[in-house]
Amino acid sequence: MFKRFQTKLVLFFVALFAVVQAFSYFTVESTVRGSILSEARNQLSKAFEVFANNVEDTTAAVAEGSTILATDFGFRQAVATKDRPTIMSALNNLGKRINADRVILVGIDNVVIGDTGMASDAAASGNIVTMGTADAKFPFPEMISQADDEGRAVAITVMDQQIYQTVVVPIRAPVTIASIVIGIEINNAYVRKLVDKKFTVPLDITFARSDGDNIWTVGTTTLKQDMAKQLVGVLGSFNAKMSDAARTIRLGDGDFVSLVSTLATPPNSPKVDAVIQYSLDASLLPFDMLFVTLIGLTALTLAVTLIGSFVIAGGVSKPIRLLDTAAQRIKSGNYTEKVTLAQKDEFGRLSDTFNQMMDGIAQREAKIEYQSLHDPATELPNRLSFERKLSTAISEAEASQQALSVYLVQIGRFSEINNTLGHDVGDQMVRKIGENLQRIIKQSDVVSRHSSSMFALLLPGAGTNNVNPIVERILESFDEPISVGGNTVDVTAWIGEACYPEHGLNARMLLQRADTAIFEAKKTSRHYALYNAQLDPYKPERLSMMGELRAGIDRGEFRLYYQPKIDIASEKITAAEALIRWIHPVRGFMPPDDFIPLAEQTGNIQRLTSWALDTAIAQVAAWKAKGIDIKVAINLSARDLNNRNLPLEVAGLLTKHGAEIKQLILEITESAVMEDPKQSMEVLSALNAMGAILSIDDYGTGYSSMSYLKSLPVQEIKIDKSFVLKLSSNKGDEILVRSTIDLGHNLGLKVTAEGVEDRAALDILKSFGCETGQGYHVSKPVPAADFEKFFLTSRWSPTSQPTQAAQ
Amino acid sequence: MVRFGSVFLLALSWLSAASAGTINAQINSDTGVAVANAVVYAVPAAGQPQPAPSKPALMAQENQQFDPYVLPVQVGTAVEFPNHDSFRHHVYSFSSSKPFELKLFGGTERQVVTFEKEGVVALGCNIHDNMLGYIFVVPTPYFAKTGENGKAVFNLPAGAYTVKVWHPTQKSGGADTSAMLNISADGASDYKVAIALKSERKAKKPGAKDETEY
Repeated sequence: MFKRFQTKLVLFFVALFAVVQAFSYFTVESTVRGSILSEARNQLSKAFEVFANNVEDTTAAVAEGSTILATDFGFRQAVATKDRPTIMSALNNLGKRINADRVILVGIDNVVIGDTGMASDAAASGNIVTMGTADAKFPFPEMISQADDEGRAVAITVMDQQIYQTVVVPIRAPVTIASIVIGIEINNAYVRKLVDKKFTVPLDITFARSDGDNIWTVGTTTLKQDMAKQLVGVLGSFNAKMSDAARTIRLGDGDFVSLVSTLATPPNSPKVDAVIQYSLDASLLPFDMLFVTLIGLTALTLAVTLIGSFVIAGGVSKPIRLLDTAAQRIKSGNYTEKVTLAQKDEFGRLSDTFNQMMDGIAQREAKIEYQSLHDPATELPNRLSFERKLSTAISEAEASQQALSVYLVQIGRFSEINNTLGHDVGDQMVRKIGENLQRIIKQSDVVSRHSSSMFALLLPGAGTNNVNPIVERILESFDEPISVGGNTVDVTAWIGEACYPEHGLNARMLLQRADTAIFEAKKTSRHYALYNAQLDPYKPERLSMMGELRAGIDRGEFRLYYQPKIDIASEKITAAEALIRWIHPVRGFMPPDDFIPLAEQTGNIQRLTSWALDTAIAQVAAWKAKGIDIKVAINLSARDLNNRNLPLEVAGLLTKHGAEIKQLILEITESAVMEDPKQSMEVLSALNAMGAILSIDDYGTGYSSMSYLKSLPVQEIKIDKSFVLKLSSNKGDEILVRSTIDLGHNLGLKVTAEGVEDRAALDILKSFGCETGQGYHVSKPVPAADFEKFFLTSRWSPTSQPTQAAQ
Repeated sequence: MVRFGSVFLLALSWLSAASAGTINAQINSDTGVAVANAVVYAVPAAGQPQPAPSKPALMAQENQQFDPYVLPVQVGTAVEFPNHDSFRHHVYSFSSSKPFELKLFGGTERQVVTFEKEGVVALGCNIHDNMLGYIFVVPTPYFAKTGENGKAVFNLPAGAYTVKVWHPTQKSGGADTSAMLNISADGASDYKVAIALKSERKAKKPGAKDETEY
């Protein structure tokens, strides 16, 4: 909950404000209440004083008036002489004059002589009616006695269930002959007058009486009747002695601060309580408006606080939100949209920093991306970039039914240049080459650095039948030496081309095919080749052949064919070259060129060699047993020359099959030796020491290095058939062959010529002194059984007469 | 001084008669204080009533006061009311035994009232409310008034008497204080009575200032 910063902030402000306001409200309320309470108590005691003063004042007035009458001689005479009519009219007159509600004349021994309150009609008519019975007594003799003693007596009394402020004045003539009792009724008019005219604040006053059983009755009140009843209901529980202590009484719905005072009454009189009350609610009424205003103000301020804090919190959290979303954008890699925060404060600075950070990241990322897609030396797109562009171009070409051409330009001797002239020069050189290439191709075409020594080009397809003229221009550009760092470098280049869609439907395939085409280009004088599936050693079907090759050895799908080798001088068979053949169960007859390189690349050549050695040695042993005493020549690959165990293996096989080492001729190529000359030399020396005849195969096509030829422990060279095939027609070949034969002889080596296809060639070779010949003129390679038959029956057989051989 | 003098003379006159007894009265209040102005009188149990004295008694007014405060007289005695003040008085009484009124008179006018009925006659002045005096009319010539020490001594012929006491502020309804005494010739009889008075203040002579407050 409240995950948002803004919400938290707003809640804090509002809560703080509410707490402060509530506190201030209750403080004000409590202060006001306390002040009102204190004021109420103050007012109550004042009011009680006012009431007491009022009693005293009225008493004084009444007593004065009464005393005037009581000392009037005529009146005294009337009383003394019991002149009733006179007495009564005088009393009545007195009552009116001093505004008394009741006037009673009490004689000696408390006998009531006259009483204006006996009957209301009589009072109204102005006549005093006597008490009726002679023994009617005034109930408060103490007052009479006190008045006699002190000249007057004052008390609150209850007579006939009415509360009176009572004054007694004696009539002396000159001794006391009677007393005048004046009653001021404490009634509604009395309290109304008191409240309205004497009290300075609105107060309620209630007079209640009790007959001693502590059950109180409302005498008169300014309260509502139900409230007054409620009040007298609780009055009994008060200790009237504590009359000066104000207390709070709840009447109806309101609280009243109340002062309860028990008034002085004569012993016989019911008790009278005066209760003066101050309505707290009424007093709080003026403050209600204050509180309403306060609450209204609080609500208003709360709203303003809410809005204000929301806005302020928004002002604080908005930049944070903006930065938050900006950070999210950065996370997802979007650096273009900037944080827009037009503030001069920390947030503004932070957003600026954010934007700078985004720019920095964007720049660095662009740089990284550029670097990842470009070659640092040439600034050209790299292989990854080229492959992407090529893929895109393929998609477009596919959509528009267009053709594409991928060219790979291989720079020759690049590592040599790097090693001799330094990498800086190498880099400068490829940069120049790159610039040249860019100059040659169109702007829309793509050139990239594909590998350290290779460039790739992507051009619209010219079709498989036509060579793009650009190719020629590129190759021409390499005719001029490149000048770098004060050096002039001759650079050779080959171009391989692969076309979409003919040679591949995706970038990788096209590049691979173009790469393959380079191999072909290297074999040509043009230095250019279009991919040719026929020549591709990496055709996919060849991969499957790898597995089949291994299985084929185990399944005995391989055969050794034997081609006879004749002694040219005698024209008799002296040896046979064992040539491996694969009779594929599905593909049928497989030429060695189709699987030997594969076997070499996949490491299966050793197994194949082992099989060939085993088979050939077994065969030569078998033939020897049959009287066919010939040598057998077996081809060894470069891998075989790296196999240190080969001499031991050969020795083992010879022992196994009971053959002699001298029956073996091991044919090797110069290039095989050159792969690892040191290791090869060891193996060859061991074999030579064992007594095996070593022969250099395909002589004249490879390095044909004189120094190697001299150092190799070989006994024979085999002139490549390419020189021999046209021997009879090509003078150049004739010279080469003759020179080679002479060279071999001069080095003490025997010479074998391959590719002898006709009699003329054989004769020429014979005239040159070449020792051994081999070719279709004698026989093509044949299975062992056929060879055996050929050996025994042909004119080349050592068993036949040499005379027919001329045919 | 004057009052004391007159009592003394009266006593002397009775002492001169030969075969006479004496009553020694001592009147105290119930609180034990000697009560002045109490009238002690002895009513003979039998015999002819004695004739009233021919010489009038005096109830003077001087310094806005009645003098004496209490004047005991035998029934039928005439009382003169000489005014010694320079202003006039309006003496009256509403007492049922002798209501009368002596309207505004000065010192030169001789006012005489004869009291034929026994009883208390409270005297007032209509002009001066503070003036209060009593004439106590008794049916016997044998009476005396107590002095400040509460004593009253008087001679009387031997015989049976009812002795009573009266005082203006005596509470009504109190215990009976009368006594039957046999007076022998040359014999002295004691009459010691305690009476309840209304209040201490009332016991004082009228005319005190607090009386005039209202």
